[in-house]
Amino acid sequence: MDWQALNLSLALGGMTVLILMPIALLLGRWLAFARFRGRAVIEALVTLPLVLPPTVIGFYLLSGMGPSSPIGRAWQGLFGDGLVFTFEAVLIASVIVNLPFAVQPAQRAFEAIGQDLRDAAATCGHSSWRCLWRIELPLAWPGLLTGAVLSFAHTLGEFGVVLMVGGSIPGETRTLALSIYDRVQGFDMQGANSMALVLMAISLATVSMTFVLSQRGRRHG
Amino acid sequence: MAEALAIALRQDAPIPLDFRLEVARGETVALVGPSGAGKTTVLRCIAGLHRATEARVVCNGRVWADTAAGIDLAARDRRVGLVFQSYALFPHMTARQNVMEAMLDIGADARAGEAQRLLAQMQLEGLEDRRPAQLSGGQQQRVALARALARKPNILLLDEPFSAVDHPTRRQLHRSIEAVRALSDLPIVIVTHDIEDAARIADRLCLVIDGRMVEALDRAAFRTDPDTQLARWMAQ
Repeated sequence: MDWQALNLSLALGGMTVLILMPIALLLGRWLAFARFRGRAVIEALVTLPLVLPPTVIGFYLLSGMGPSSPIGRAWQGLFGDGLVFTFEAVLIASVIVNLPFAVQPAQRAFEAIGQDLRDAAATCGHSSWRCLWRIELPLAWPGLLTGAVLSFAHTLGEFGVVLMVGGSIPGETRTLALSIYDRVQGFDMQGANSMALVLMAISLATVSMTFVLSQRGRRHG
Repeated sequence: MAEALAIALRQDAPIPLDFRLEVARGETVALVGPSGAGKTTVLRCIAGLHRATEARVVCNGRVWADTAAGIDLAARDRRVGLVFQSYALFPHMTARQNVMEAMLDIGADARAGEAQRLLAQMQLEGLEDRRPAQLSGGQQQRVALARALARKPNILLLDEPFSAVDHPTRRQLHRSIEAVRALSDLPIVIVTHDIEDAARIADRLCLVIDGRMVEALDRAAFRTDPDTQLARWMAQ
């Protein structure tokens, strides 16, 4: 069992969710309520990681964060080291790849809140922030939770993009999914199997938790 | 009676409006007319939930909207009590919490007591801790009315309060509105397509067709004069 890879995967999943959820909340709410030209283009861009092959996304992220790119050069200037093949690069890639998994459930959850409720909140004297806090979030949280858990579970299993952007550096970018691949390459089928089982159990537990909490939310919401 | 509300609205789309109305303090005005005539849009313009192309809304001497002067007060700053056709109660909150949500400018300690008083006024004692899904349609409507009154509004607006309720609920609502009228000089605007209900509780009935007020009659004139557009519309 590659505990280092497991810890790295859990850290990557947790940090991805922490960074992604505020983005998903604001972007999902904006897409749910705002009406403007070009909205379909933004929705398509958010959905793109779902349909593109991971190698394509990985290639563009590698190019976009490479030492000759503006982002790569800025990173080098700030921290003295290159960005690609680091945990930070994998984290940035993970946030981008998981955008649709977090934003779409959030958007649907906000869309399900009737306009009348938001209007009622306005006539009650609510500011936009109070309406978000008191009315929208308590009603939309099952969708937000679904997005968080899906993103976490998807991050644990992400392979192609992590490999392209991070390589497979032990302790830095080698996640559990990559470690399983390495074990199979080395004909260590038992080691691969134990790690695959752990990954499957964690994913099953997190997804099951979403369903249980969502049902509880619907009952009490 | 002193004028409490004066509105002038004009727009071509999505629903054409060319509408003027003055409501006196303590007066109840019913806007009646066919579906799609723009009655609800007028209410939404008063509440600040819809912006007409040209609008001037003045309440108690304060300009809420004046497109010519670039004034457009947000809905939350207008102090309007609005009972939505769908009631629009917050489904995750109890009846008491729904009413308390409209009391942001009084101390947190006083809110529960004041909400209790309003719910009692609407004859909802014992139901304070129920959520909307655990209340009947009529009870939900009275919670919505209590919530609309909770903010001590400048004006009370009711959107189709008599649609989709049975006769006992209608009678209960008539009593609730009468109680509100007896206790305050709040101007009230009711949108309805039920002219009988309008004639029972309103001081003045305004027939709205295609976004225009085609006739305004006080209740006595409506009752006694059979040759009015309202009477003809009602007979259709």
